Amino acid sequence: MSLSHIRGGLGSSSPSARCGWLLILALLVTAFPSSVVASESSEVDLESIFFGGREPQSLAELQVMERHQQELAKKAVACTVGIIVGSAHGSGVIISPDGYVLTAAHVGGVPNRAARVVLPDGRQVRGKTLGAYRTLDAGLMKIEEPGPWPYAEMASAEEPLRIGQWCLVTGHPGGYQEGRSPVVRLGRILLTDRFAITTDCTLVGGDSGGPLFDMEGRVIGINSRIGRLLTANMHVPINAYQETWDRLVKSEEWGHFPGTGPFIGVRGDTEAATARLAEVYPGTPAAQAGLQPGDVILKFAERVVSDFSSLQLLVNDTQPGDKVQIELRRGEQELTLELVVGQQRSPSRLELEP
Amino acid sequence: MVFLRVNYLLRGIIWGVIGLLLSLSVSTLPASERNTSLVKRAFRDAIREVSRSTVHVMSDGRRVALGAIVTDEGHVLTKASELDQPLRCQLFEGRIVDATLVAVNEQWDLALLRLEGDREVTAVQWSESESPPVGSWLATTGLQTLPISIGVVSVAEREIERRRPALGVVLEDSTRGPRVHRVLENSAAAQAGLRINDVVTHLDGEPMSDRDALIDAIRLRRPGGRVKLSVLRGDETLEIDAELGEWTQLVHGDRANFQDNLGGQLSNRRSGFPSALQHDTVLRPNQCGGPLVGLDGSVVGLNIARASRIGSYAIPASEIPAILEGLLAQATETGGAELVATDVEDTADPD
Repeated sequence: MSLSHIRGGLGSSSPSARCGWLLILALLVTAFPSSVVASESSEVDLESIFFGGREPQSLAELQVMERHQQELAKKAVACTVGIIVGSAHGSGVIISPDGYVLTAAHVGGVPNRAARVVLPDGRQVRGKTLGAYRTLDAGLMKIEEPGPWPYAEMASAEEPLRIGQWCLVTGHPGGYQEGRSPVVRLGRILLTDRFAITTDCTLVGGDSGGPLFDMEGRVIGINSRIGRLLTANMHVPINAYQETWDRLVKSEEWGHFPGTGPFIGVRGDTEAATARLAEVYPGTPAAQAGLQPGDVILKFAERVVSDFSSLQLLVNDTQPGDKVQIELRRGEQELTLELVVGQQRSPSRLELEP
Repeated sequence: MVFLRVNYLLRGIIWGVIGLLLSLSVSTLPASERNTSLVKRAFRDAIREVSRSTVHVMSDGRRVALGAIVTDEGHVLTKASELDQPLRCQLFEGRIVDATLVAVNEQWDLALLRLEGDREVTAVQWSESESPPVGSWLATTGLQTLPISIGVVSVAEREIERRRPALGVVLEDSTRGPRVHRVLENSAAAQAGLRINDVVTHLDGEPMSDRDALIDAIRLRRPGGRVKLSVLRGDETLEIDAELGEWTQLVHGDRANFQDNLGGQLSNRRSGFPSALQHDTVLRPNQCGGPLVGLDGSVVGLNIARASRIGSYAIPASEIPAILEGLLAQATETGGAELVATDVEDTADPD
């Protein structure tokens, strides 16, 4: 599977880097029950707070959380990078010792562009943009200089995220700034769905592409966009990268950024077995092309349309600006019209400025 | 009529569903946020002492800042640029007392107030250890037993450079002095009504011989600061007040600041601090000026600015004793009589 590709990469890493991480993970996993916790209060169950989504109940619990947060912040900062592509500044996270960098699709722009990757100590190295899965805003890059690089592991796709689970974000808000290390924020997961993880780790332009970590330092998401509220910080779910890894590595680009996909401006008649239009919205590409309510769409872009959902799929397959032929039945007549595909404009969520 | 009833019924159902969704979102969503009272409650034991040394600073009945009691004689340290006369402070036990502005440190944007009358107050203890490392918990105290907000250290101590101020004119030299060649759109100059061919002869009463002198003088100010321009327009002499803008905003447009303003207002003065600890505590501008507390109950800093959507700044505790000493000395020298809060904003940075 796609993941083996990454794991393979990890396996071939230099022993020192790999041991470093294993050691860190071992520390993270074992520190609570034994060394750290035992000395203060063996009662503190960090797992139920950090992963179970529980609130800390006492100063003692906060203290145990704090020691863990301080350690995690160090590791998180070490693998967070600034990314400069053209005039755009964003963030990213190194996820393999040979220098694969996860970022947001809207930071990289298009595949195979030269990029500069800024390490936490300010050193700049050469990089290149690879694939971009625009629908979920997942982008991949590679550092082009020899590693090994400090890196974080991606979380396993099988482990579900919980509402209330604690998490940590890093990135370069406002773009990389000399003398300022990656900026750490702590929060909790508020919502998850296929398209995004929403947290109260506050983000702003420049954070795009930076990592969202679970409290064991595994990358669970990538910073993508924000809404007006301080609780509206959206991250690309990590499985968007894992499920499309091979395509990303091959520098493919596909999909549309949220709210910018193609649209034609019709509503389907849900009671019809065919692609019969219930409504054609005024001022849309469909209205301009001359479509009318009651029209049954037979072919779209020379492909057969069986029902309304198949029409939706075909529309999604076009690019805004494409000119397509539509064959339709209107009463007894069969007509062919030409339509220029439009672009959605959804102001509901703001993509982070690079 | 029958249809109408059906409509009403439908509407009832729809509202019912909306109500259910709202109640669900109200009951489930906020409970899982970081900044809930459930989480804040765990900080109670850490902030108990410091809350008693925290005050609300009020100007004209409005709450403009928080403050920290810094001497047992009733001196209060707070954020200078938010203040306006007359000043009063609300103490932990609830009483509101008059306060006098006795000294200002413009470089750090700090003001020293003196509470009127003799009252029993306890000064905060500044932490003598190094600033807490990135990831450490922080609590901002108010007058309650729970912190008003909590967060973690985001970036270790560093200098916060001053944002560059801008008037928004292109100047050329003329025999009469620096002359306006162009007024940039949406700039401080445009808002103040400066026009092409105006000659700026004075800035805050200081004569401006040429273009470079005016540019240098502006650069010493801060974005948000007010300046008085003496202007020759034809045969007329005008006095024009302008509030300086910010250079990056002028050059790159509102987009530069737009996202930072999503999620709440920012402090007017939020740059130009010799050293600051950046943390992710959500504060309103009028919640700055007060103590920032670590889990061990020590005061690790004084909140000095809400800086962006993602962060706030605090002056590290290690810097405070020296600043305080200077302010107390200044207070003794001047007696505080000549200080008015409006001076605070307009004072040029000495460096």
